[in-house]
Amino acid sequence: MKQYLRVYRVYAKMSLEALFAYRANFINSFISSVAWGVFSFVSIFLLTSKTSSIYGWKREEIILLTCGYQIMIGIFHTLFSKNFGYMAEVIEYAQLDGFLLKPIDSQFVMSMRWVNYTSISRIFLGIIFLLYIMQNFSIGLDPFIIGIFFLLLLVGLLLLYSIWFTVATVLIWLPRLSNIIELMFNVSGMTRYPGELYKHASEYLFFFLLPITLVVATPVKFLFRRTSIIDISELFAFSIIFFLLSRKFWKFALRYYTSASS
Amino acid sequence: MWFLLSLLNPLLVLLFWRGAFESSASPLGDWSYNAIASYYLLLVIAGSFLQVHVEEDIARRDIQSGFLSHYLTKPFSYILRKFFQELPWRIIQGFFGVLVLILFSFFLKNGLFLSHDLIGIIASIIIVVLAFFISFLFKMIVGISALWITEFYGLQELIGIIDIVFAGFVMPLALFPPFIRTLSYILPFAYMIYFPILSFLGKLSSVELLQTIGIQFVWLAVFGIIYRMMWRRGIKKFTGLGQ
Amino acid sequence: MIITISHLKKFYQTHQKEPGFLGSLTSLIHRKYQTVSAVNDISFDIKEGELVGFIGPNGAGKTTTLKCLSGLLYPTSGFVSVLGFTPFERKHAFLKQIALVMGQKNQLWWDLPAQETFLLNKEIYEIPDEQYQKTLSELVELLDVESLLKVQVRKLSLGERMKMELIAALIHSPRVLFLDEPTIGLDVVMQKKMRDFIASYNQLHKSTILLTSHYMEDVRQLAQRVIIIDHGKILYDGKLDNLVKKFAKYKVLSVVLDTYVAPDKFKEIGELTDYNFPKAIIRVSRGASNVAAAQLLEKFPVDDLNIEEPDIEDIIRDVFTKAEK
Repeated sequence: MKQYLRVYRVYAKMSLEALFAYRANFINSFISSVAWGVFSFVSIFLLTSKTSSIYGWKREEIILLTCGYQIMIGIFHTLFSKNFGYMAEVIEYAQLDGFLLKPIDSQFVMSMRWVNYTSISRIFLGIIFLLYIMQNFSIGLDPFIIGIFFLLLLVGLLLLYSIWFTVATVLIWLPRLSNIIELMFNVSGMTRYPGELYKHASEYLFFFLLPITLVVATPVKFLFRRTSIIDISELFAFSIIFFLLSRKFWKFALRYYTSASS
Repeated sequence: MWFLLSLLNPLLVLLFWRGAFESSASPLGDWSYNAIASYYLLLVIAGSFLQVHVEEDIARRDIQSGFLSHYLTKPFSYILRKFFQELPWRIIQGFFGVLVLILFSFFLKNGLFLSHDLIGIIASIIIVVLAFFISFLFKMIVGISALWITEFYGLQELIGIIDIVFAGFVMPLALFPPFIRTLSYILPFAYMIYFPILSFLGKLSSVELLQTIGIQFVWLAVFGIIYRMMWRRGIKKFTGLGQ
Repeated sequence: MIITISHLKKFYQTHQKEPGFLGSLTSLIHRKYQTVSAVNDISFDIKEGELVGFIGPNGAGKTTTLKCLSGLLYPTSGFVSVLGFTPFERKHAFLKQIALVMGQKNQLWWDLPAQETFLLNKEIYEIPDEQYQKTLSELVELLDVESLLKVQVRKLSLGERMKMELIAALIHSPRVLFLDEPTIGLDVVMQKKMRDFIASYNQLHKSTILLTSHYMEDVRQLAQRVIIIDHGKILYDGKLDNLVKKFAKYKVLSVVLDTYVAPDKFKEIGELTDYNFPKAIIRVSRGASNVAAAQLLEKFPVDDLNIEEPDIEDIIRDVFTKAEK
């Protein structure tokens, strides 16, 4: 365990140094990150300005859902996103070999090699709005409740990560998949669109749908004391199950990788 | 794939509004569920046809990679060339948008909420055409700004997001809280997307139609002048750098 | 025996893809698979501290064998044991004692100084501080890169980068070192430096080194023992001198003539392989080389005469062409 903490500290330091090596990129991503974060709040604010209740959720509850989502997405982007982005490359260009030769868990390296510091702004935005809303709608700022809330968020994060990693593992069988997609994009002329937009579009799809429905809902419900033991245990159970699944599947995929590659 | 995703947004939001309609009879004033559903579906076409994307091309290829010099040696105007490069893509995308619209209109209970007034439709077409030009000019301006601004991508995202909010992609501007609503009518984005949709929905009176067209001409003129100025200064800078 | 391979076989399935768009489509639906036998029943043992050269043409199976030995590939059949471990299990205790350096692939982080990657490896391999400092300074001195430690990797030349790659690979003092084409892409000076380094490292640390190459110079200078592989099979395994003696039945007389002699006159001495007045090269059978030399000196206007071993490249080429028949 200690080894992993020390290695992660080095990863964090190296990512930070790489960040300063490219000043312009840093500013761009920072503006981008903050802008999208603010956008999430603005849009949810607007959408709920007309109605006080949707599917039984009150306005403040929905806004808090967005806060929870922002915090979770912020943590996810900071820790994992960049690594998922590189996964196809790592597999296609056999950089994975380099990881397999090291006496350290390859899933750990694949998932956590890069830290994306600019996304921390999202986490802060989420927390700030969270506190603001809780103040405004006078929801008790009981530290114990908030603590459990964050704990549940982290458990949800584990679930989100596990699902993502399991899906990404399929890339080991299909590094060609990205080529096929590329081909289809070329045919339909989609490559006109900037890559950044794709990133946000797929974020929308996989982060809005999945976490909102599965993952962020439970912690937020907890905040309003509307959650049940069943909800919470479901979340824990799913997280642990999917995490173990992701590891098993990864090991299985590595068997294939080491048998088939040249 | 981008196309499918731009589809997902309206579908999700519609689901959201469904929830609102369930808890109260008419939460959105004179917007029925049908009306708002039609609004979001029309957004799909508007998004694909009226949202121009030249700025990316200009910033990356032409300016940063220096391709612009290739254009400068040709006798054609840069802006015209860009226009004709962009037009086919818009038409193709718009075509898909129309297909999607027709497909989904079958799912709407009372059919699509559209204007049936002939004059209204003609005015709508004019508004759409003007909107396209405004959108194009605006993006040209954004694109050329890459000549001065190094942090272009941050700027582009920022403008993109402002566009999403104030062009009505989140929800119809009429439903905004009063202060933000007024702001959105002052900014040009509404005239690129929102008002074209409104006119097709038949929600604009004859007076309002004329007003819209008038304001659109004003924005065209403003952007035209700004573009001209930036282009002149920009070319001097660009050729001065010896790219 | 620190490395043991017994009847190792590694086969791959590859599929044929027709070029063009139609080809891509059909390959999605129906694929024709072919079995490629990269390694086809090889066996050898290596003792601790040996420096072995593993040579063969491209596609012979060298890299595949190295990958099987380091755990990157799962053998189709056969037995592999390194340091008492089964490589493909990739146990951490095993990985901490080996290193694999492949010419093209790099593990250095591009935008940062090489030193950062060394520190990363220090934590990954759990090297204690003292040992790390000692090993680092030793390697840095040996490779003479003191001034480059803090320079960003992308600003280094290819040769400098290779040196840093080596340090990164050796910082954990592996007992077994696999080098895949270590001199490829380097200029002549760098190649020599690389060979010198490998030789000294082997001497100093008594580490077992297995290197692959298709350059004869690498082999000639470094390898006490040579394993020749082609088409997945071992053609020769033994000392280099013996290879020469066993396969080279001839010696080479290289002559500088004083006055011109007609080529056919050399027939009585041996086979004339190259004639570019005043130089001539004649092949004679090994046993008869001294007699032939004496004859040359007697009957021909010779200015200078040398008796040489044939070029290893030629020998090995002969070995390969014999194997093909």
